[in-house]
Amino acid sequence: MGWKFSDDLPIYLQIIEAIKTDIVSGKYRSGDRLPAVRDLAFDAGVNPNTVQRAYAELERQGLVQSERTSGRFVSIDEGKIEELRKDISNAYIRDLFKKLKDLGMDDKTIRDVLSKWRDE
Amino acid sequence: MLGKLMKYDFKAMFRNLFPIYVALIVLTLVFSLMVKFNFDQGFLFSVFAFLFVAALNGSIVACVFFVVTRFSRGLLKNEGYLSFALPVSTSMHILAKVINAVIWAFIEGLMLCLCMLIMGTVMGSIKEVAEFFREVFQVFGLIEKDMLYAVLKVIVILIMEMIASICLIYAAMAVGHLFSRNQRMIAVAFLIVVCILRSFLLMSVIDLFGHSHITAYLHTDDLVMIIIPAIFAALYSTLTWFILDKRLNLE
Amino acid sequence: METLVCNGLSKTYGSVRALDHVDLKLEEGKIIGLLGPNGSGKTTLIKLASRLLVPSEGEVTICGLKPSPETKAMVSYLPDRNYLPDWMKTGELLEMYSDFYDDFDRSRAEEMLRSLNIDEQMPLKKMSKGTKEKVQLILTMSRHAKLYLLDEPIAGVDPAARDYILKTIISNYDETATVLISTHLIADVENVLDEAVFLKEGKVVLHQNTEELRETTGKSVDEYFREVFRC
Repeated sequence: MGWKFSDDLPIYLQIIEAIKTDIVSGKYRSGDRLPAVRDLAFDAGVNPNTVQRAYAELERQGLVQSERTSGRFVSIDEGKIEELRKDISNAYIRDLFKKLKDLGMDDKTIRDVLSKWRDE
Repeated sequence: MLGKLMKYDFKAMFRNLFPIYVALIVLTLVFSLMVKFNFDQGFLFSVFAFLFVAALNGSIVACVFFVVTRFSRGLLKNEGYLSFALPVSTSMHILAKVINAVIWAFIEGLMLCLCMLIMGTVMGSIKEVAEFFREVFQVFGLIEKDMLYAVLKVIVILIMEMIASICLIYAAMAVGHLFSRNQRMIAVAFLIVVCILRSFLLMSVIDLFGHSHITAYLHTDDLVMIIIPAIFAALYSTLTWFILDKRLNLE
Repeated sequence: METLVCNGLSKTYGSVRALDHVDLKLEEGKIIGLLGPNGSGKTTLIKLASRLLVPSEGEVTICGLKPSPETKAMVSYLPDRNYLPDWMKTGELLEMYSDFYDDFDRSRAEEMLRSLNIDEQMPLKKMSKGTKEKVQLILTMSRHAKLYLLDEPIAGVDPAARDYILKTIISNYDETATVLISTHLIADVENVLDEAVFLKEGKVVLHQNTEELRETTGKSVDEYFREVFRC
């Protein structure tokens, strides 16, 4: 039912990740309205309180703003979104480096491999 | 809430008994017409005579049967999950079932009277029917000047006795419900034991008041005749209430 | 505020102890899973709360009141079996629910029935088992109750019906209500639960927020359940 979640992480964290990805990828643009708590809960097949918690956390991080009556909107602060993009890409890069190092490559080798890969 | 409970009990009973009553009236008409037009011999007549008698008895049996099953199905089987989840007290449920039984006993009685009327009207005349009813009342040993009072008295006593019997049947089913197996057998055994105990009890009460013969019961005051079944009805219903309220255990 | 409170709640059938001194507090606004294998006392607990049973010891209260006609008016109960008279038509059942329950939202029920193309003139006995179950769920969830007691609502249904049932629950309960779902199929429901209550041989062995549980154990509720109830 609904979205797929992995077992080992709280669901609200996984929802936050999913929304962040949607914001960075442009599915939700700056100023767009996010789905209502119950609608998102319905689509994802999760508890409305879980969605509420994810939204509250996104608000705390300044990525989402809530208008009392009309719902929740993606922050219009482009800088915030840019920051988020950087955060997510940094996380990917950190992960990539960690994995490659686990394969026994040092920083220099990795850099060489990466530039060769980009050239191709 | 009582009215609403009664509404749904009535609906359920009506659904079961209506076709039977229609059949009964049709058969009464056919039978009466056959007699009226001297078509009263041969195989076909025997068949209809048999069907008519069967319908007469059958409607009584069916009425009792559906009164009993309305209680057991409605409260003690799966439908009990619905009934006991309703915002209604246990005593209301029992009261609704007792009233339901009284209503349908009346309807059954009316239907039987209607059949007699139909037969009387078709085969003879209205006058003869009236004469017949007068004789019926005379059988009860009533004098004509007190007709209204006497008829009323008999009706009240009959109703009270009937209510007591209904309450006893309900109590027996409730007692059966206490057991996980042989519920019906236990209910019937309870019914028999209580009937025996009741007659012993009544006899000893009558003895206590100085009457030495069983016929004394038949000549006691009108009020006593009404109060005794009322007391029994109350006793049985208290038992039913206790079991349904405190010991309910739906499968 | 607490919707359902159990204090030392016990129930014995003869010599069998079905519930053993259960202490439990369920708050409003939550969907709670009553999880345990068959025979762990889930149905007994639900029947005690809906006053289909009387406790042997201890007590259970709904919004501070002992089970009574008054609490029954606030509790919407879905038994684990076909409990509706099967000669009745859906339309008659709607009328019956409106008659007895002040909190029954008939238009909501009608809308849900329409969306499933269920004919109000069709008697229950002509419906498939799955459709009958959906009608029961629709009637139960169309009440604006304070407490919903759903006994095994997803047992024995296909995945599509299961999704329908869970989504109906999510989109229909009131924000101040509590939903208690009993089941032994944890993986199917755990994403919709706020809290999990594990029942083992009549005792509560765990009552925790599901997100916390996932966070602290690094496991899904289902995985953790299998660990606790390993044979």
